[in-house]
Amino acid sequence: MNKSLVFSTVGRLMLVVPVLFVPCLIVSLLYADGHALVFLAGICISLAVALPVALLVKPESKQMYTRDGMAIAGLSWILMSVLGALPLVISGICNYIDAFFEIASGFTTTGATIMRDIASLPPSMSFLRCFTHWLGGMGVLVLTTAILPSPNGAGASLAKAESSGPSFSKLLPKVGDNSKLLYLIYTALTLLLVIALKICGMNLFESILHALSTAGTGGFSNQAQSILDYHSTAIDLVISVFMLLFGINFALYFRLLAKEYKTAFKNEEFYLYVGLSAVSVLIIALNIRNLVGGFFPALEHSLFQVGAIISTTGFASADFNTWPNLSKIIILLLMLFGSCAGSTAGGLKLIRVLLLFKLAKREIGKSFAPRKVKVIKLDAKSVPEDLLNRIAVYFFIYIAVIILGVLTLAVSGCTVGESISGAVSCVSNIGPAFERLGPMENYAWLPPVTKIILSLLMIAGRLEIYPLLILFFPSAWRKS
Amino acid sequence: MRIVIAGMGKLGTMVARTLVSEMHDVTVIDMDSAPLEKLEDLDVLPIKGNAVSIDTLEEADVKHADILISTMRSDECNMLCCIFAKQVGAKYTVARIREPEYLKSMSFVTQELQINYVANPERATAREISRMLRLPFATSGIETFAKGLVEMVEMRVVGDEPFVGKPIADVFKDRQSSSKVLFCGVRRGSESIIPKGDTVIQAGDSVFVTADYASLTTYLRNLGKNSKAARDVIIVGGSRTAYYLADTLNQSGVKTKLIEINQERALYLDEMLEDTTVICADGTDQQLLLSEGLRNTDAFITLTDRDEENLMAGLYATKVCKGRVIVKNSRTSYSGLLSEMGLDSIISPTQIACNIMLRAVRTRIAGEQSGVERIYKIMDGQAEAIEFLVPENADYIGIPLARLTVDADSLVAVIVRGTKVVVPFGSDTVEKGDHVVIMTKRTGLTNLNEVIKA
Repeated sequence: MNKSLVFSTVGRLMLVVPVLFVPCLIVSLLYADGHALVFLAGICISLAVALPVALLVKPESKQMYTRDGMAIAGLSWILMSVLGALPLVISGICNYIDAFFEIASGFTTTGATIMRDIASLPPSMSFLRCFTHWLGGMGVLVLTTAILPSPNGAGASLAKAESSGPSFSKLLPKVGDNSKLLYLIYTALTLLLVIALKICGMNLFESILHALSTAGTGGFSNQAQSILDYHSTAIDLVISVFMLLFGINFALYFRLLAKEYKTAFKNEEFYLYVGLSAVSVLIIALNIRNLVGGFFPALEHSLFQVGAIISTTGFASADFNTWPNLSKIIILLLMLFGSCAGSTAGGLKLIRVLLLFKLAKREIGKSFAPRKVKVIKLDAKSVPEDLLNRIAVYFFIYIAVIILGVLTLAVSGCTVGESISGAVSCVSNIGPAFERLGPMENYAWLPPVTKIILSLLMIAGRLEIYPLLILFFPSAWRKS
Repeated sequence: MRIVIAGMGKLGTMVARTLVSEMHDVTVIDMDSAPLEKLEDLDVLPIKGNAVSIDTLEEADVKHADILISTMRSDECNMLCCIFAKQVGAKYTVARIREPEYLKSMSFVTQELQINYVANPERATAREISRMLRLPFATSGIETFAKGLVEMVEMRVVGDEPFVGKPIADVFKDRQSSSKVLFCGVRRGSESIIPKGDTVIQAGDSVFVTADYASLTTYLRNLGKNSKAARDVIIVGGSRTAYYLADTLNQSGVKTKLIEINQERALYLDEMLEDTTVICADGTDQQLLLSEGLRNTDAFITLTDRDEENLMAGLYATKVCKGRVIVKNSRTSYSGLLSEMGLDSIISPTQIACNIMLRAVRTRIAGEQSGVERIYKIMDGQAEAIEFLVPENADYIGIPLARLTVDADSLVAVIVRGTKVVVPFGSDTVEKGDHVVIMTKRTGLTNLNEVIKA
């Protein structure tokens, strides 16, 4: 690994943090919530940490390879959360470990919180939490490649390390243009949601907060009981639809903009996403109809909750802790699967699930016809064998990481249900889990070590594990 | 500029790398995923598929491409790819075509099939070698302008030349014959200089000299440089390049001897090349080479398809042969190592092919809305030699150069009027229809107006 290049790039990426604090500072000044100095201090400290590294470390060679990009992504995501936590600590709202958990949960768009009293948070802090969702959703490294020129393949390696899905595919030849395009679609959809929420009666500030949170598929809110507090069918529906929209591969929006309708919808993953959502909504609605008084209210809650979970947002319009077991199991499975690759959502990604099913079908077929040759196809194109192999291994590693989380939670005093759902929820970047980690509860009561481990699991889940894993391999750090 | 490259072999990859470094939007197509994966550090859009299918071309958005370059293995595929691309909507197409048979019907290919530029790496390599043989004093960087009327060569300054240590203005004042040549570029270490009257040439510099062929030869002979063109050449390996080279040399009356190991191929070559002596034998056999006159030949050129054989034979020849030894080697990254071993005339067909394709692309880019005829990148890309066609009603026409303002980073190198080559002095003028070659350190020049102002 090219260590000097990794450190200097991470240093430069850390300059994103003070930039992130600027809008929070503005919000603080606008609402005069008394935290302006906190953000100012945050800007100064983060600059003091990032600038020397960015300026003093001189890379030996500027050629960046995939492994360098991965290490940069892993390191910078951890450091971003460390620095991003500063305002929460300085203001005395929580201790450093809690703040790290909260901001890691923000950037990874998990939405798991340690805040016991969300409603009393000052506006600037609520904004900070939701804004981390928005940046983390599309990606901080992706943002920098959109803004800064990237010679020697640096941009491609960085964007690749942060993008979701089994294979990194660009829509435009230049990675900078590609990132710009993604952020353009992302911003436009976010603005659309702000307007929609405003029309539904939310005030502008809260519309912005919830739009940022929904767009990143995060789940932070400034309401004690999330979206449930609004008791508005219109808001429920708008957010349901947009959560689902942000779970779709952004390439589809690009194709629609380019008027390539045929290629846009030649996408098996998209149909699986729609089908899976629809079936889940229906089953859960039937399952809970007696609890909420009729099929249609049940449909509304079920749509919202399926949207919130499959898109890995984690908003709550109802407490699914009180739902029957069938519904809870469906929710747990949706947590594991997540949405489409190339979206802002987390989870295993449906494209992997789809290919794993095709792979399983082929292997079963081979058991009674051993000489049969079968090429696996996706969207009428053959899928390379080594990609299938990587997906199978990724699935195993994903489960292994979840098991690590389950064990951690189990020794921290969680029940079986809490341990399993909590670990899946963190690695898949959902947020709420079951029982004492449910949508109306929080993660505050867990021991500090557990919080640190869960924070790392969230980052691992967001970066699709390898960029974080590579940091723990001594051989990766050897000079190359 | 949106550029699509089909076929990611050695050539395609090299072209892609250069075009990306020049900040173009590059999309690459290949049938296999292996060559595409090798490009992971390159900012291109890789597309896996057959470039001779409309579907793939559409996926690569050839519809909106400014230039399509086809460098697949087979000539036929390249032609088809270009034809399809044109149909889909590509504005300009470049194809690699190598077979001599197709080359004979080149006008049909370019006119009827609408392929805008045909690059033939083997023929280009042969031409480069033949230029090296004609101008043996040149180290490299031989280029021709105005349909071959003007030559530009790079020459290393040893230190005993009469012009060393004097300002250029003085040098060209007191020599009669020198008025016909021009120093248009100086490379000093990694620095590139466009010389002015007060520039002083030092020992160790490389000087770019332009003139017509005759003046250049005379000038260099007067300088005492070995300027005797080769009369007698041995070529090892009967590749396509060897065919083109022997053919070119025969036309200018050079005696050629070609050694080819394969009987069938040797017979075919003998049939195709009237004036060449074809010998069917192993060209790496030392005894055979000596008996065929390696010791006294003017030039020994190895052009087999295997780099290793070329190098072995070449290394042996440098020990025995009095003449020039030229070796074909496709692995460009090794050239530094090879020159340490005594082989400094190394020719890389891939590099040459890449250069001619890039030249076509750059000329196309610059010439889209202007009078640029050709662009050559020289001195490691730090300077450009641009050939302009003088338009009808430019305001600088007819005014002596001394009274015009010439851009500080540029130099008027040559003016070609009809078939007459003028090395310009203050009293010369630019006329309508002239071809003017400008040396410049500026990039992106599209009009002669930007350099010369009335």
